[in-house]
Amino acid sequence: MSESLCSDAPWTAGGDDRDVIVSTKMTLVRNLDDSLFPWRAPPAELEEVRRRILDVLQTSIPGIEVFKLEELDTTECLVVADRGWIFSSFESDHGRAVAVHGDTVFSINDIDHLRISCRKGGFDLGGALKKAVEADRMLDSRLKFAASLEKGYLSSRVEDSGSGLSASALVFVPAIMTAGVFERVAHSLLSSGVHPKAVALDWAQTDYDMKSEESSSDTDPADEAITGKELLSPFVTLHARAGIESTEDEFIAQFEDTLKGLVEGERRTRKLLVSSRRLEFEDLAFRAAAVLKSARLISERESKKLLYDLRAGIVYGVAPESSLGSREQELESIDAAVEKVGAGILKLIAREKKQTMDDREADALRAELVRMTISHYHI
Amino acid sequence: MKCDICGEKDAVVFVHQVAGGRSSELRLCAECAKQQGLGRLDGDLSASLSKLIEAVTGKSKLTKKEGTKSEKTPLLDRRCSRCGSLLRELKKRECAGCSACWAQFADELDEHSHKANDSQRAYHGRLPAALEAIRASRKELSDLKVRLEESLSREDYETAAICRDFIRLLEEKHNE
Repeated sequence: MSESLCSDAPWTAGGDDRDVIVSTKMTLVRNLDDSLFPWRAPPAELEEVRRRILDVLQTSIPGIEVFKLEELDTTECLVVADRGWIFSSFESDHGRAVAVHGDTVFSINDIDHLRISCRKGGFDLGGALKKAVEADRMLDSRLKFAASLEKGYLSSRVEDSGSGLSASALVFVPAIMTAGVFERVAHSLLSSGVHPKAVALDWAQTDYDMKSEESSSDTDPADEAITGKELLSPFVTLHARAGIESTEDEFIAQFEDTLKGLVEGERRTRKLLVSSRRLEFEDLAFRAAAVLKSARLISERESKKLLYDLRAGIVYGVAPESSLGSREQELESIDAAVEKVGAGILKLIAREKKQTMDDREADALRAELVRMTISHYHI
Repeated sequence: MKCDICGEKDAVVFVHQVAGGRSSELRLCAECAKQQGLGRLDGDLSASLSKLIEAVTGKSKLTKKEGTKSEKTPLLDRRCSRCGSLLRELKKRECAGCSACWAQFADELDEHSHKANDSQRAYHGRLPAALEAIRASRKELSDLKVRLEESLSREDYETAAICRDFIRLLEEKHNE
């Protein structure tokens, strides 16, 4: 069984400012100069592109794991999607593949011929970019990328051309959500060119995409995503794309400033809320820990909600006492658990244990995994 | 660059419009320019330009005058010479089909990032190593030309001669 698919994702450990910035990711978009872009290329050409790129990757990076999408079963596809290793649906898997080496992922024939992503735990844009650029330079020496002096790296989607660089961060902002100021924060982020994506708890798999203010719609983009009726999870993904005018350093500096502002804002709001509602947050955290420690059956939605409440308790400083050494270790254990309770990885674990699984068995296995994860809490 | 109307001859007339923060460009060969009324600098010129500008913004179609051998090639119905994608489809999808689409339709595809000033449009970021070397060489040539001018204006002919010789070397290297 593949190690990359079953083990904890590398970004669930390490990194600074983990209480707010759970992970940061940098992605570079590249295409081969002499081949049609994936949406236009016939299957045979896509297979050839994949062969050429994998040939370079496998000869240059020892130990790299390769997953050809047409060879994956449904469970493995779920894991690949859960991990964010692909950028588009599985509708067409001709010539597509994902190659994984530690925290660096190479997506082949997914919108573009190649997307190089590096995801690091905590606030580490510089570290993520360094790894992605190293891989890019290695590949550049052996493949001819499509680029021009005027437009930079050429991409399938017009908006991705230029440096081909985009950044994203997974942030944990329970205080901003609880205080009801997410809409205002989102507007501010949009004006800096950062697009927030919040997930509604009522529809666990639904992404709310804040449309750019440049959209042609006359309605306020925030109104389209947040009506106040949905309860949003405290996890938000922030995404930004480098424009053709900015260099990589300028783009990262701007994104970092935006994240620093968000970190300060969230921590300030936490202090304010805890000063007046400490007991309420403590109650939520203790209840969450108690249910997670003792449940025998638990759904994905409930487990995630309770893990979020417990994580919020940790960052507010009101969580139950733990035998783990530090707050960072507690956060890492929660983040690893949130990853594991997703349907795809759970089914992989069951397969490893040579079990078939219906929904009830999945809920039981999930409850067992969660109990193991938070056994260090003293309740 | 080929003429945007006939697609056959090299373009020698370039029409660049800047309006409302957007910039558009049209390239014409001598024959098509003349047929579109650009041969005379009189009152007819503005009328001809208006018609051309409408065609650039896609509000009307430009075709060659009757009596020429080429077929009608409305701008948006032009195809990429490598992947065969229609410009109309590419604009609708906001995608390119291959790197040749970018070479042929760069301005039409990326019209939202057009700036009035060319230096603002230019890409200054990282490039593949081979292109990086070309860009560095071009910058070196450009800097030498500036130094040559400065030397001449100071009547420092010795420095100017050195700059001139380096410029010649670099230009020969480019031509290779």
